[in-house]
Amino acid sequence: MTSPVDPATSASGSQASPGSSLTPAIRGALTRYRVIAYVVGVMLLVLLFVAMPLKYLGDDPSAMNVVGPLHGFLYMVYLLATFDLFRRVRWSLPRLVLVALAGTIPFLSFYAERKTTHELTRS
Amino acid sequence: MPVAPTTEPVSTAPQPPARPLWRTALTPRWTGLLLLALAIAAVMSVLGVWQLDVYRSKTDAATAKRAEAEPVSLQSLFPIDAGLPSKAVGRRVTVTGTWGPAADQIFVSDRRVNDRDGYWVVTPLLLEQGSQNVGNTDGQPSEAVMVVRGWVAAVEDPAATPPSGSVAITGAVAASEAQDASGDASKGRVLQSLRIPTIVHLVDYRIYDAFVVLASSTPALAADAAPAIVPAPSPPTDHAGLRNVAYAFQWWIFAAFTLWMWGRMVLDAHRSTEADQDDDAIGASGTVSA
Repeated sequence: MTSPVDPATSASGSQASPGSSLTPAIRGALTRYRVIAYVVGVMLLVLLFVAMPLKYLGDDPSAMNVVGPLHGFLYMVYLLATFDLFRRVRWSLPRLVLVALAGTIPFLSFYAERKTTHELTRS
Repeated sequence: MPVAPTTEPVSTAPQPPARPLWRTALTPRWTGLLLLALAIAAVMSVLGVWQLDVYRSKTDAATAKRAEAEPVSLQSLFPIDAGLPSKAVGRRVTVTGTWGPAADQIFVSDRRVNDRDGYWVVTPLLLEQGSQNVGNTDGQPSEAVMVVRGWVAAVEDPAATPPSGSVAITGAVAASEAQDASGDASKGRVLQSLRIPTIVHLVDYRIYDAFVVLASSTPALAADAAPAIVPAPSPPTDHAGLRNVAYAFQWWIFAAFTLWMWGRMVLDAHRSTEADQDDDAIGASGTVSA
């Protein structure tokens, strides 16, 4: 996840893709973050709108037993990806905390993911 | 080498080039963040312990629920020609019938009650079989279940003699003991372990693949005329709330992750100050301000 960035290669690779000033390392970190943010966001909606009603209204915890822990572990991956991106793009610490917490709030993770991507890719 | 990050140099005073890492970590910013990280990690660890407690109480409740269920007749729980289903172990059952003769009894040695060595008395209870004869008239062996009637200090104890007449008992279903007792078959009627596979060769009945550990019988016997009742073996653990075990581990991993992040950030800040002191451009390359 936190593969080291060689300053030399990342500096030379920054011209690789047109329309983007991002180094390949940052673009990789951003892609990882975007994928896991989307997965965690969907997982949270499944947890909230499928598993929880089944458990608390339908008295059937079987979906919850799978989705609950799965979401937890995926959220860990989300945290790792977010932290990795934070280190590469020099976010402030409050920014890291906000993006990390956005992954726990339904729908907000999608918004945070879009905002992050827009900010990082506009050149 | 990881990309140089984010925080401005923590001190503007000139430093010797080889500034030790602990000097960076001891600055107010990083010490304060460490305390914050420790506090967060502590709360997360407590949450993990709490989730583990939830799992324990769910499991205890599920385990106790089985032993607390109302007694049902043994025959309704599972048939005599089937293996003991695991969900029947620990259930309380009622059985009616007549005790088999003393000659059919089995004793299980090395059983302690109140620090006294003694024996469990295991007696076949011949089941009532509707309108059919209990006896052997049609060549079919009688059906029976092996009942742990209780404990006696010695095999010759008169209390071990089974009473005659019809009896209705309540007790808990117990499985064969797991302990290997391969030598038991040659030891006559005093065995070391309570196992249906051994006992099935020692009695002339069709027997259930389970024991019933006697709790009460009707008609009741005087306490000194019957083997001392032994407690039912603890029922198998019914795991419930495994989800909470996963949550517990997740909280602990989050706690560790919080501390790890702090360490990572201190290292980054430390390298960043080193780079600045060297007037090196490394810190600025490869990054984009967000």
